[in-house]
Amino acid sequence: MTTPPDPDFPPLDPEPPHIDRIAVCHTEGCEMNGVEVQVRLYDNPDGIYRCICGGCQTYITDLKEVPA
Amino acid sequence: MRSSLAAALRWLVLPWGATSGNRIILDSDDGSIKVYEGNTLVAEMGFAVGPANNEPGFITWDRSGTGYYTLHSDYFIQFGNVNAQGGNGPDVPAYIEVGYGPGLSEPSTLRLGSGFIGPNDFASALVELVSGGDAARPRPKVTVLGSGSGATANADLAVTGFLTSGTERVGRATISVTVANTPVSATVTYPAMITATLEAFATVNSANPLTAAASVTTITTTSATVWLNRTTVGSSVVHWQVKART
Repeated sequence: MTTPPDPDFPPLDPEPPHIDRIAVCHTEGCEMNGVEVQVRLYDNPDGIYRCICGGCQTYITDLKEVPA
Repeated sequence: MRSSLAAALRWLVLPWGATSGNRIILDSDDGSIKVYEGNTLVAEMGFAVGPANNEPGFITWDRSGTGYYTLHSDYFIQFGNVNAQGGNGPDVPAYIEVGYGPGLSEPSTLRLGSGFIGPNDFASALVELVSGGDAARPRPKVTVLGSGSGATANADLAVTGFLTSGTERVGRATISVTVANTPVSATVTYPAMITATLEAFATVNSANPLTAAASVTTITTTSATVWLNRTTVGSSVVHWQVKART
């Protein structure tokens, strides 16, 4: 799922280093379970890209590459 | 001939004299009008119908004999004492209004009115349901309002359970800062919102805002990135909220 950014919140300038991924929550019972969401993940000092499901507040580890 | 005429004045069966098949019976003895489909009574209006068979009203049955208290109207149905008079002039019983009634501009409108009866009541609480789907009104709409003017043009809406919408997402993210004074980002996902015109907020659960701060960027209809900075290494809970701007 590709969602356009809010025009009132343009990409950061300069845009910090990042990757784009497809995030999928797999928490049983979570309303976001199985829902693919395209996300932008910014580089962190420890090298870990963090993505959290807003439905169950747990970290998402299923981060697929965005199809070209 | 005279007895037959007397009987006809007390009962009238249409088609005349029918005792079976589809027929309508006007019965002056019990003050009812009965409609039969075949030999099944499917509708009755009279002095003593209603749920307890002792109230004036109108009742229908389906073909299995299950009763339904139904009434069809192309405009207005009132409930309660229609002659009620309070201390402030004519009162209004509760009602259901449909279509092009006064103040209604759309045929696919249903308005539920509480009515107002009594010296301290001046306006109805209204719930209006209006269809949608075209360019002017892309979504169906439900409005809660008052029937009066000034303050009584408004109505309070209390929801004892959760109130959810497609225009608000709220959550929390526990984020670890591994290098002091170096922000860490975490992207949060949520169910798709119905508009991309959004406002976003983030704050840290902290008693000392000088040692921890949060911000938010990269807002989309399905995700946002929250940032946490701490003056020390450790984790904090960041509360975030995304709302549609009206």
